[in-house]
Amino acid sequence: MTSNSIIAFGQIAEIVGNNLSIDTPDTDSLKKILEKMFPQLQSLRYQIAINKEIISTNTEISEGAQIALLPPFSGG
Amino acid sequence: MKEHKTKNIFMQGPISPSFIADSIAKHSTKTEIGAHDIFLGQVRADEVNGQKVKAIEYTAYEEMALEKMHMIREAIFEKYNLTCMHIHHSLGEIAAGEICLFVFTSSAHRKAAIEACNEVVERIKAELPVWGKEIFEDATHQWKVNQ
Repeated sequence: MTSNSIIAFGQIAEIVGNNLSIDTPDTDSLKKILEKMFPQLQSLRYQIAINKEIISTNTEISEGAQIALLPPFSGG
Repeated sequence: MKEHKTKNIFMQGPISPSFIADSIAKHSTKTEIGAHDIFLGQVRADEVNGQKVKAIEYTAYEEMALEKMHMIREAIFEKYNLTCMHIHHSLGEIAAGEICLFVFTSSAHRKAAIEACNEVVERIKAELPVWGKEIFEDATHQWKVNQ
């Protein structure tokens, strides 16, 4: 199984960078891995999008899915 | 219902007043329009702990933002009787005093244009994956938080 690359934005990108690849079956385990690698994430607000859809419950990550880490939006 | 294809709302750099003027001028042939409403977002030189914001650098998850914007556009056209709607959002570094958001709605009568414009601006700020980095005069920064 190949690991999924992760794109991050805003303040989250400053912490995790944009060269991250993690092999994980679902978003709950992804969160655990990320927050272990980057403890700062525990105190920050961010959402996870899988294939451009923000997830609200634990979601399976299929091979090749686009994973994105989104801090609170501040456009306009 | 009218079909609206996904449009790119993003442009690199600030939105110039002449671009806005041209956009208004283009509507003179659409004589069914009786009202326009325009919202312009301008970068504010906020002061935080004695440091002034000199610019905001905008980045976006563009693919997702454009898909979301398309959905918002469809919902707005469904809800309001608009003739047309144009949206432009800046990316990159926008200096204090420059325009970074331009929302332009037109309708036969004022109410639809005004209400739609307001709703679109609120939804852009709440729902589009766009981020503003406030850059201070001493080159430090903080991440913008929408009120």
